Amino acid sequence: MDESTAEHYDKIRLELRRGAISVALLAALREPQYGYSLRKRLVEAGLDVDEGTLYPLLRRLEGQGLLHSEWREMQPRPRRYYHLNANGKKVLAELGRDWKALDMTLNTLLEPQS
Amino acid sequence: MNLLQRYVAAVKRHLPREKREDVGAEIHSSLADSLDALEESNGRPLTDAEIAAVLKRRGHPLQVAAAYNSTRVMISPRNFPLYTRVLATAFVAVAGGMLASTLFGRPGMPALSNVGDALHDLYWIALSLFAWVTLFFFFFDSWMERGNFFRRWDPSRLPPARREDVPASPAAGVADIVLGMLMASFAESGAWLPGRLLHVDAPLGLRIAESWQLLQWPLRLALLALIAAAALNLLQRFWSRSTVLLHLGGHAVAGLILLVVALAPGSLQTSLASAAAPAGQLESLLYTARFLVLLFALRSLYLAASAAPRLGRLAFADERPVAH
Repeated sequence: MDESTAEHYDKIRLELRRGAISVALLAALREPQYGYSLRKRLVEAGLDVDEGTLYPLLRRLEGQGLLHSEWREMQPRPRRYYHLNANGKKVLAELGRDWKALDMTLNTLLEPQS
Repeated sequence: MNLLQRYVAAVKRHLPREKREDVGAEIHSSLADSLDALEESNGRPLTDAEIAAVLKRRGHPLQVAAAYNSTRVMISPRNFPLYTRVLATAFVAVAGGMLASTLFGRPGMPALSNVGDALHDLYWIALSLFAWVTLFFFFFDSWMERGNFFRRWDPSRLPPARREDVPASPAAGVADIVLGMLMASFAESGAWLPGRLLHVDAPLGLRIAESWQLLQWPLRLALLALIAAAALNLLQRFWSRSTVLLHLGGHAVAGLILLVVALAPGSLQTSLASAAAPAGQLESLLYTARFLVLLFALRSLYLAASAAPRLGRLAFADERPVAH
């Protein structure tokens, strides 16, 4: 891949990931998580999301009424926990269906033409 | 104060007041968790360089804070091309007017006597023009957003497709505006030349004779039409039937009137009696003025003639099918 093609590939890959990260975040937040533990959980699942993206996205999803958050006093420091709320659960169920449909479509399209 | 506290304080300075403490606390907590994890994996306390590396990876405080702020731009990308064209067109029109007033002067302020003032005025007018056009587009953009402009558009109101779009040259548009304004200024108030040209004290007025004032209105309208056509072309970048009509009509009428003014004796008059000027000099000045008016007239007639085939092409373009 030459330099220019690699650049285009990076851009498309970034766009592809952008939407997927929101779905992954919502899915991971079916259990309450604080920022660092959430990031670790995503990395373990194979999705490395940098902190500069993760925290503002959590705020945005909370602003959209999909997440609930609260500060919890704990050792060695207080942490802000995020959790999917009822609205978020409904949206996640829909997104899950959309994702599977999209996955099937892409698999069909990506199969080599006979 | 340690490096982490300094970093969080720097980010907080760029955050909106209502989320400053909350976001600041979360950034502190998350970074402290990252540093703890790194310390644990290293099995020793972190050095300042290692802490700095973690902070650098997180990003410059401005970048980090920006991700939490709502993004609002003065001019949206969809309107930016139109914005720059409006700005450029308005600037050309203002500069053309200023150039006309500087080149031709006015009573009590002869030609080229106020170049410094004119440049100073142009600077301030250009700045306020920039501010007003930007403000207008800011509100226009908000109106488009609030009024659901992009949802309510009607495909049936799209302009007709033409077999070929004729591009309008920006340079020709600029020339038409500037020269049109020069001629409009001369037709309106004449030219006021420094008296020293003819070795007299008072500035010397040179204008279309009062007995020819009947031609003023058609000339005004013709010049207005060709300036409007040029301005519209600068905005649209393509000729339309209306701009070709305005351009052709404006140049044809202005060209004919100016041709008559250039050739007919007594069509130009000066504010100086012939006896007051050195012999022959007043006549030479009038001949020069006639020659310049003649050049304007010939240019306009040439442009009108060359626009005629373009009008023909645009007039019948809609009746022919568009090739795909």
